[in-house]
Amino acid sequence: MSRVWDASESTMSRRGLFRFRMYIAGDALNSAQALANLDALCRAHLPDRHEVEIIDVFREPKLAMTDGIFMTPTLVKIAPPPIRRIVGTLSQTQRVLQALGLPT
Amino acid sequence: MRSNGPNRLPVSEEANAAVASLIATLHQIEQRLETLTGGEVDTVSDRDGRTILLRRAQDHLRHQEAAKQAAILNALPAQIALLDSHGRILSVNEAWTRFSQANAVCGLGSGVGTNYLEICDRASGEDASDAHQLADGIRSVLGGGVTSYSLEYPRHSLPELHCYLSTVTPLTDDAASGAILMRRDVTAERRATDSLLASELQFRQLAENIREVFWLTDAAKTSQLYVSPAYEEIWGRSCQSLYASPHDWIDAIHPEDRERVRRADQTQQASDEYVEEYRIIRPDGTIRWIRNRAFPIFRKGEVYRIAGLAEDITERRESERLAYYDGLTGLANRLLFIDRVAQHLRAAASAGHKSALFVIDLERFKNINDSLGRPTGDLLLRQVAQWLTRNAGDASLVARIDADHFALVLPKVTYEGDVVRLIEKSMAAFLNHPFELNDTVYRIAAKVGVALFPDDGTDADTLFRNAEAAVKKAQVSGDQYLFYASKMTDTVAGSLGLENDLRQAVDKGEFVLHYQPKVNLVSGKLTGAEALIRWNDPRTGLVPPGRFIRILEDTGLIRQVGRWALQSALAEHLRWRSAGVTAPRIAVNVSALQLRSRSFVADIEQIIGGTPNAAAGLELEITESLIMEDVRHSVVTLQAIRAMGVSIAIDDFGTGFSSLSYLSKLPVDTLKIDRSFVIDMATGADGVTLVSVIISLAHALNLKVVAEGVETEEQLQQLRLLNCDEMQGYLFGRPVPGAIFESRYLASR
Repeated sequence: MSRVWDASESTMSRRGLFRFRMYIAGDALNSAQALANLDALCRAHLPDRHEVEIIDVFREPKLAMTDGIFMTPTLVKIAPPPIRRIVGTLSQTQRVLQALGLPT
Repeated sequence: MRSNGPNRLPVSEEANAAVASLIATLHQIEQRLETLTGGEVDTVSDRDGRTILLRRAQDHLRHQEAAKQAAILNALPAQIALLDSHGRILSVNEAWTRFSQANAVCGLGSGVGTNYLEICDRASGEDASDAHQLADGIRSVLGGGVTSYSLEYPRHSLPELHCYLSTVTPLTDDAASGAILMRRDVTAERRATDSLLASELQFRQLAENIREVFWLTDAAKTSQLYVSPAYEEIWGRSCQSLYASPHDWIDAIHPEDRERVRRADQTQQASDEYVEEYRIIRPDGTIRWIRNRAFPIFRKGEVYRIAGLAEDITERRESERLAYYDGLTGLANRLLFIDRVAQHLRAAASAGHKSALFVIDLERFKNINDSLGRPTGDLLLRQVAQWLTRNAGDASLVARIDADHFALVLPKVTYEGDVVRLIEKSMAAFLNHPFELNDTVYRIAAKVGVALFPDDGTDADTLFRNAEAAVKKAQVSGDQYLFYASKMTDTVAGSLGLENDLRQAVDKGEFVLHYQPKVNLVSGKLTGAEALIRWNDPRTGLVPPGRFIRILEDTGLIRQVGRWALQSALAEHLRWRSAGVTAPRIAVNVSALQLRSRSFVADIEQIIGGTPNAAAGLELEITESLIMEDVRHSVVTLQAIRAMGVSIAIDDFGTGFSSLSYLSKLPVDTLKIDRSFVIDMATGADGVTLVSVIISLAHALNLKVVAEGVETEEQLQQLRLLNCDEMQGYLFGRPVPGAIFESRYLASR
């Protein structure tokens, strides 16, 4: 099962939209931290132009397998291309921004 | 199951070493993973997608889960304790701890580690039995006997009385693993419930002990929400049956009332209060009268229920019935009858037709009652009521208004002649009807008085009074029925007082006879005397006959007074005879009632029987019209009297309508010309001729002629010329008392 965090689609510019998929392990500490960091980062740098799908590997292990995810927490940037994967709690904001191709 | 399990081999040193090395490898790998991922990773998956949870994450999740559960338990107001299989407290929530600390002084301290079962077992005082019961409950849950146990109990040992509900459930499916004990303070709930119960109890005590039926339905009256037990008593049906089938309420109503109630229900606004009265039929067939009052109950401006009170008013109805009906015959009484007549008259007035009201008097009823006894009299009255009802065709037209008086109303009369025909036909039928009393057949005669609407009265009361007056008149006359004539009212009303006075006058002997002389027209000598009755009223003096004769006749007193007059006149004659004076024959007037009486001849015989030749002293004066009413009977009676030697005179001749053929057959001696003819002689030749013809006629029939009311010398001369035999009048002498008559007219021999 997946949850979607999003801004209102009607006001959002489809061109600048960042689509993420976050793989977590239930309420485990690192996963919870990763979610919190992602939330803060999106609000600061991608207001109104992000979409996050959250996948709990305990609940949907097959989906993680299909996507080739071997560790949690893992953030996957689906759009805009190229696809990027970031493993960890996303606590080093500068490096995460660089990896996502956003200005630091 | 096999009794012997497989032998366990001792674990070798080798194997132990291998396991230890594997664990060491796992730790190393985990440490390396931690290092590689900087401690930031929670899980790692293998090639097959199997997720391995790293220890850090495992610990974290475990702690978080425990914290959540603790928080939930601590947030609960209920006191919760985890017991092991021996009843030892393993864990408690904060509510439990707070309670234990607060009540430690009361000896209820029960922290972790203490044995709750032992605490309960040790309890003493007022709460002991509840505590022991709770311990038993916990043991049965721990023993697997039951899967849940609850007990509600008061705690008297606390500073304030509190109520607790303890619930025990097994910790896991395996009861032996322990139990959860949850204790809740339900004091406030209990109070609310108690007061609800108390008010419910009060309501029930009220509803179930009143004799009225209290009921409650929904607004549409389709479902019965409540009915009090009095329903079973009054309706004879169970409350349950009404709940199951609310339509029973309507079905139980008497078929004659059901439609009316249903219609009223339909036209009734649900928001109206209403009262209805109707009969119900109980399953045993008995009928009860119900008075049902309904009140709407509003909520938010809408009717949402209807409450009602139904009571058994059979007894009240019965007493009302007694007020309007005659208990003996079941007919309407006077009160109800007049009410019904008033309704008929309103209808007659608006339709413009006549109505007739009859009052019926049973003749000789008193005799039947006196001689056969009252039960027999009652039996007759019931039979008469049945006869009248059958002949009227409708019981509501008939009433019993008095001991032996019935009344009947004919709501529509087209021709008055129909009424006469109806009465004659009905009375003949009534007279012929065999009333069987004590195995004997009786024929009963009746008298009827009739009053017509609107001729004899335009309201029920007047019409009724006038019909009564008519029957009263019929009672004393020879008529079997009489119509009310408007002038009759005055006579009856005005004469009631006089009637009483006259009855007393008869008893006290206040009547006297005065005598008027009759003289021979040629010789001028006294030939006889007419006895005239006077009433010597001690208050007013002499009362002339015109004032009271009619009432004597109406009341029947004339029989007594007439007989007295005959006796007195004869006694006077005999006195004169014995006094040695020329005693003239004395004429006495005879009334209709006397003449019709069967005993009249015998009476005369008795009066004259005591003295020899007494008949020669008596003459009877009978009016022409009276004789002509029933000529045959008159002839027989007069012949018998005349045979005794009493002479007969036709009084007031010329005013009746006798034919010559009858006159020749009448056994009479004298013909008295009415005073009106004597007066008319002065008006011309015709008057004289008429008197002349009468005198010639009388002489041709060998009758003596007496002219009445002669007052002038001229009349005297004319009558003399016409060969009239005798005269009577003021010219010769007024009526005077016997003593004066004797001294004035009678010469001693």
